[in-house]
Amino acid sequence: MISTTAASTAQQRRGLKRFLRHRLASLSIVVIVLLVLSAIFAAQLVPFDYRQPNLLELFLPPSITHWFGSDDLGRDVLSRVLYGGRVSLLVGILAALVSTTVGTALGVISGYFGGWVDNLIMRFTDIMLSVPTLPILIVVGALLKESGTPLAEFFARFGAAKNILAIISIIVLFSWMSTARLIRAEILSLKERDFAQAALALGARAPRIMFSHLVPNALAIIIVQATLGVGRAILIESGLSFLGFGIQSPDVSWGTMLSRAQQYFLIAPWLAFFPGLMIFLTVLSFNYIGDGLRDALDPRSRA
Amino acid sequence: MTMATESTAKQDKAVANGNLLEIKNLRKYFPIRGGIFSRVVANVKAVQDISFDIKPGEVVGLVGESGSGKTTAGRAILRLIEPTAGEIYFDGVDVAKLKKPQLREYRKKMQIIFQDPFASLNPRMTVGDIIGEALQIHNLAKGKAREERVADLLERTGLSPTHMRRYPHEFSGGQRQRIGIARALAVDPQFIVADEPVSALDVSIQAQVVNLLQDLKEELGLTLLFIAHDLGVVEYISDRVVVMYLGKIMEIAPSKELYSNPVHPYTEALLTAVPIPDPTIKRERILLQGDIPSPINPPSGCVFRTRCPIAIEDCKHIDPPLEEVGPGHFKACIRRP
Repeated sequence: MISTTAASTAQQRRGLKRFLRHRLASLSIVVIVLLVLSAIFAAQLVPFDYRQPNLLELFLPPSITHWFGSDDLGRDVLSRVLYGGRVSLLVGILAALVSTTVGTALGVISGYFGGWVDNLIMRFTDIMLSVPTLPILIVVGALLKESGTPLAEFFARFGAAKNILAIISIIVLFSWMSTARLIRAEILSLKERDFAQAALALGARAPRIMFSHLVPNALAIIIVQATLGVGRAILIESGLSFLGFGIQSPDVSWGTMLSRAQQYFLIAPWLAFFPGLMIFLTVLSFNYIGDGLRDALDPRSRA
Repeated sequence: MTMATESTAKQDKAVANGNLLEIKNLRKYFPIRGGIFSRVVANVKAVQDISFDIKPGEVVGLVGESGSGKTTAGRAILRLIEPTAGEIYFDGVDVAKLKKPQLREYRKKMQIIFQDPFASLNPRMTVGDIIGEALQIHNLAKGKAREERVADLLERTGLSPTHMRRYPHEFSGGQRQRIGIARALAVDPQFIVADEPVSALDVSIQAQVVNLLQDLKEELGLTLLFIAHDLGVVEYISDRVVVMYLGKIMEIAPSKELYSNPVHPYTEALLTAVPIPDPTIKRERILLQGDIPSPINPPSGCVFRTRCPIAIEDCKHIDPPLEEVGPGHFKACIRRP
């Protein structure tokens, strides 16, 4: 037992080494940590109140006092970007994690068991893919806003976090399908491979075969799905807010800032530039981290 | 105690009819579905009604060219593929009818060694975990004891216990095959299906692995079903040989008998294809014409007739039964007495 743990720490060390060899992945970790820290300590960092309009300072371009300029109501863009990161990062990371987990679980079950289980899950996936998202979002959003509906009451329990939780739930509801399909296809091929057959011949039960043989070998796909999911979730959140639910003024997220900036793009391009840059940095960093993780977790790649 | 009496009782039963394994009328058809309603439009008849026995401690070779159904037969016997029909008696118990929980118990007794040493080991697990998993599944050993057992298995198969912490990709094909053998041995099986265990290896390594299997068989009293498409390898290790073609058994004979006195024209053709390591010896090769027919629509009567040098009109109509031509020597051919 002792040497097994020794072996696993040695393994972890080798994995860490492989990760650090990815310059971009290491750099991306730094970027994400900085973004997360700035979101957490936004209250301490911001130079201005992000909610406070100032009619004397509309559409100021970036300057010494307003690093990122000011918006159509004269609010400081830097402060709003810092606060906006709270919602966007939280929604992006959590929604991607949950939807990848849900998609992976459904995909593995579907691919491994096949037959009617597979049919049931995959037809449900098809339905979810073919349902037009927009009308559903409007209905769900309405149900959430209307107090007294079961959905609204369910989320009301979570108090302050209820908006974010509702957004994450909606995003997860509409974004697990591609992962489920990809994982199912991968599992279909993996389960016929000899090492999976060997586990079956040894008398391994389904959960062991699925989780210690099949899922680890599908990790590359899972990680790619998760990293892509972060960017997608941040953008869906902005779409939701644009439609009138999700984050509402005076609260702020990168997505809402971006969609609001559209109408002023010609006169104040910095309104779109800075939140756009944040989303871009986040998505790009997560993609590089995904690359690094994929190699770090694969014992075949050289340290 | 109960375990011991149970196992001796079973041994008696096995000794009573002299067989560890009896395969009766085993069939495996893979359905081909088509059309909008996924109806079964045809069957790939991979194994059509084969029967044979294996005695305790015996090594039975199963040969035939690609597509003859050897691998399907081997995997169906272990129920890695569900047989379409037939009985598989192991120690007097019909494994084909066992439900999942009972089958798990039998998985300990019957193991498999795979052809491709690169596909048969999980690339994400260490060698120690790969071999130790079997012990974990059946709660055979824990902690230190498990590690010792894995070390012992590695040594037994000609590897070093220090290899435990390495990953499969760090080994050569021959070493990986040894790891596969160690994994199969971990549960102390009585019977092992070796599915072309040396076909994917270099010729120089083949002999080493065959010798290892031979040694282990003697040391541990294993019973083996050795699947191969090369009669040369099989001759060396097998006590008896079963020759398959297109899902059917063509000939069964004790090894020496088969090589010195083949009866079936298909066996003859296979034997002349075995290379002789002496370029001065000239030999008449029986070359089979064409390819093996499709198992979706096998020829009527004798399945070999389309490529048989001595086929006659009757071969189209008569499905030749397996007939005894000498002690333990069976053939399925109406053209040979």
